[in-house]
Amino acid sequence: MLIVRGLVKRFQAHPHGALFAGVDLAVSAGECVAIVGESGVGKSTLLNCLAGLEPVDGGSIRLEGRELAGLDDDAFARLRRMRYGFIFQAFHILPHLTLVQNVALAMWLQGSAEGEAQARARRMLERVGLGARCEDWPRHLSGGELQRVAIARALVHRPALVLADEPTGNLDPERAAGVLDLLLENVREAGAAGLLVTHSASAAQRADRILRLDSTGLHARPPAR
Amino acid sequence: MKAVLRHVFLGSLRRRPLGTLLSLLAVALGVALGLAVHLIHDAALDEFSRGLRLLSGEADLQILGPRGGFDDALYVELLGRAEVAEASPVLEVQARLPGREATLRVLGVDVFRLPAVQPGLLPLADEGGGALAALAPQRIFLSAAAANALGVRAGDELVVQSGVAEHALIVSGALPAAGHGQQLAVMDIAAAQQLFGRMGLLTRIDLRLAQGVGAEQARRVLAGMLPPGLSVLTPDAALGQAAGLSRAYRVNLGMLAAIALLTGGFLVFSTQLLSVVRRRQTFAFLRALGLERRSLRAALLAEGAVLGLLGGLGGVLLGHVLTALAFRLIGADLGAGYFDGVQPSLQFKPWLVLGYAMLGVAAGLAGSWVPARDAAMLQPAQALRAASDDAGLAVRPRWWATLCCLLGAAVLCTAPPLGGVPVAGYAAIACLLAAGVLALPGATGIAARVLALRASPVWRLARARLGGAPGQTVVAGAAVVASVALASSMAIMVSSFRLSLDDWLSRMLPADLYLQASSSGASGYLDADVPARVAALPGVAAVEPIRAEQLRLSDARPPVTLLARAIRQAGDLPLVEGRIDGMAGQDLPPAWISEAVADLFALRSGDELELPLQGRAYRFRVAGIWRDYARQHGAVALDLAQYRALTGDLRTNDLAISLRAGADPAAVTRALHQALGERTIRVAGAGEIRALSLRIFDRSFLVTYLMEAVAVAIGLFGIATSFAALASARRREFGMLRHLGLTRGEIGRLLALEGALAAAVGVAVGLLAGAAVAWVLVEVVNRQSFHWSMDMSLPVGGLAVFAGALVGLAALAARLAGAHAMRQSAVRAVREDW
Repeated sequence: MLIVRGLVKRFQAHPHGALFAGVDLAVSAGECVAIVGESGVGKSTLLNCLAGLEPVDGGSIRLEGRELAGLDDDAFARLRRMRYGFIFQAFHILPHLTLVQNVALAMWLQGSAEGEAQARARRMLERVGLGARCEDWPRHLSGGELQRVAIARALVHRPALVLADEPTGNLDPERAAGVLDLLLENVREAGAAGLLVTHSASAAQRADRILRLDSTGLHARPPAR
Repeated sequence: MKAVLRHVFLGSLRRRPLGTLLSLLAVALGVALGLAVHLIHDAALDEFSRGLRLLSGEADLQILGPRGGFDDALYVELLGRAEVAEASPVLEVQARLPGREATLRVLGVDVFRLPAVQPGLLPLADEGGGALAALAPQRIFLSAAAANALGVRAGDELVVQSGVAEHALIVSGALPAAGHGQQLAVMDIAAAQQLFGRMGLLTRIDLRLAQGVGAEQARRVLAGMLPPGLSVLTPDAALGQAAGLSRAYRVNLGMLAAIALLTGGFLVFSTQLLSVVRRRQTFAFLRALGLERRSLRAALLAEGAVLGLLGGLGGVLLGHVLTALAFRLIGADLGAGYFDGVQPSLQFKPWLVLGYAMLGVAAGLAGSWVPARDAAMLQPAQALRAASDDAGLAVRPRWWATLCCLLGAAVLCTAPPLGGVPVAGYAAIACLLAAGVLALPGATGIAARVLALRASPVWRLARARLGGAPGQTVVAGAAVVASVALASSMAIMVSSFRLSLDDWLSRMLPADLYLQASSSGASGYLDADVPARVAALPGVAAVEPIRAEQLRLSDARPPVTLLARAIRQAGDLPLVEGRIDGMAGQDLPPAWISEAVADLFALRSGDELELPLQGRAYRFRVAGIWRDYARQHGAVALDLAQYRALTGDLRTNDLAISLRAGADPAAVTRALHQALGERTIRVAGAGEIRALSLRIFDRSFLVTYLMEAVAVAIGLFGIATSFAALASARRREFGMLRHLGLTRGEIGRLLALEGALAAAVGVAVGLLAGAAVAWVLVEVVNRQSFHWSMDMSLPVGGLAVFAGALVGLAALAARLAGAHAMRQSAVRAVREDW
């Protein structure tokens, strides 16, 4: 699903000149990979590069067999709306949209008919356990519930790749485990490739594989289950 | 607390320079317009009053007659009264100056009487003029302002017109006490009577009362002995009457400026509310640290007060600049024609300046009141964990409050004027504007529901935001509602007025050509033989003489105009009530009164009316009420034949000339000039007069248009500042949308569409409020101020273009205002997460 070869990201202020170099990565459909590493090593930057939100200085990114490295800004934006799903640490649920509208947002961006967008959004909210609260406003939800809405939004349009950066960073450990299980379960069921950046060892252990990022690239680390 | 106030609150004004600058500008413009209107009219009125005081001098009472004059035998009679110590007769004539547009106010005076009663009018003969120069029949003495305006000096010849004859006078000296603001001339009264064909007539007698005689007691006694059509007034009352002439116009302009200031207040509200929303977490933090609610509210009010004070001070400066420009470019009456011959100068009035600066503070405080209250109500714990800056923009529909304002407006519309000023009408307009702003949240919800769904994600996002965050529309649209309501109501009123005026002119000017020796108030007139001479000219089919005179119907009101013309059939007058034909067999001769006379003297069709004609009182029956846009203080129309039969006055002011089929108007005009004089008559086609009248009409609304433009600009500022602040507050949202696949261009379009939708709701509500305000302006304010009725007319095309342009500009303003926020990298926008 996702194949990354020799990815380089230079950063002039960095002591080594490059934030990371020679990053190789392959993630299959239905597989969830956790990326760990020290603070400042470039985990989030790697996700940004994979999403086309930051330019890369070398290497190749192929998603579903298509080379992405040379795409311009707008082309990447159109690709993101069709094939990417995002989950943020601070949820970023729009307060002026109802829950079902927040989830349907990803379908709207694809130009889906309103009926279809609403129906799919409702189904996704049911899957994350919020089916009864479709018309609620985000201000009435807890942090864990908001992240479940974000998971529904990330998956409603059946993306090929789901990128999640510290998705449980704002949640207490008990809620974090539940939300993470929900995320991984849905990514796997959707047949998407999932990349999860986290500082939390317990969160990383729930993934299928764990990779550690340093300036020389990604290195395998067996899950300690 | 002082440090917190300086750094956290007042410092915030510096940290959002665009919003602060635009708020300052909006308040400054409102204050400047109000102050300029005030200063201009104060200066004009001061100079006008100075002129009246100069004329009345030491007089305790004034006997005032119509412009046509009264018998000077009264003067002799008054001199014999025990109450009267001194009397000074005056014949005042507005002399036409052949070949010039301007007229000259000439006072015929008895120089021997001046020292005791009106010393300010004493002429100073030029060197070599001799002590008795003022008594010489062809001598005239000019004030410095008049000499300057006419470009003449002592010894020069000045030609004046009487009837259609020209008379040369010698400028023989000056009026030293007249100062530089008064354009007038003085000559011997006997010479003036003879020169202007007013033998044995006076227009005024100024009286000094005997010692121990009270003015009011003497006024009552003397009023009983005056012939009909004369008033006896104290100089102060005469001054008050003169000042009252322009009061309605001044109040109207003042109200327009107040609405501009109100719009500025809305802009302060928008920027302050947005700034409070953006600082919710800061306030919550400060509250958590121990800042009391009261202190938080006071600090935010202080922000508004500082904004208002700076705006007010800027406005005061700008107001003085505008006043100086207006004196230079438009004149003291702002194009309305109330203060002809007056040349005021700019004066600094500290109390007025302070008052207007404080109005700026009031606008700043009023605009900050709701945001400060909302901030003080904040629950710190909730605000600290608020998901977004939008949380502070939730608003509920306020239909009940809207309805209450509408009902209040309806009730106020039924109230009578106060002292001739439609105070309740203006209050009704304020209620309607408040109703418009209160209706915004509900209207936004309705708009979100009725807007069609479209596939475009940008459209869907904008539509969802309209329904989900109506507070944004309220914040951005409040100033738009006020400014659109003002602009559209003025546009509807002016369009209604213009169309009604055009129709009125067509009906009042049925002939092909109009001839006059001067305006009816000036010294030109046509003798009894002129109509027959004109009728005999080749190409002339018919001639209708028109006589205009002045009548004093009451001591308490300015004189009304008497219009004597052929009135025989329906259509001869633009009636709004009553009829013209079928008056035969009535007990009294018919008179038709203008709407102003009907309103001011509480008369209706069928009522009896007494008119003083040539010193005698005649009774008439009011046969109808007609629309008259030319004479604000009222007019009475009589059939010319009837008027002549009663008075024997055969003079004419205007001739309406109908041409034979195929006759060349230019040839007839040439023949008229040959017969009556090149410089002493004016001939104009009906179309020409109509076009000139409409030009004057448009000029008199020039200031109104300027104020409208300012109000609309302030409304657009509102959109721009609101969206700049909102876009800045929504950077994380835009970052998230970029992650989800929206391009930069699409986010730009989203902002533009949101701006357009917010403006469209504001414009729609503003147009509805504007239509209601226009109705109040036409039916209440204009009726009570100027006593003019008009037919309502909606300039649909113009309003549609205006609304479309405003929505387009708002979209552009929102797009440009959000450019900075859009430029930021999507990654940086959400960097606290990644």
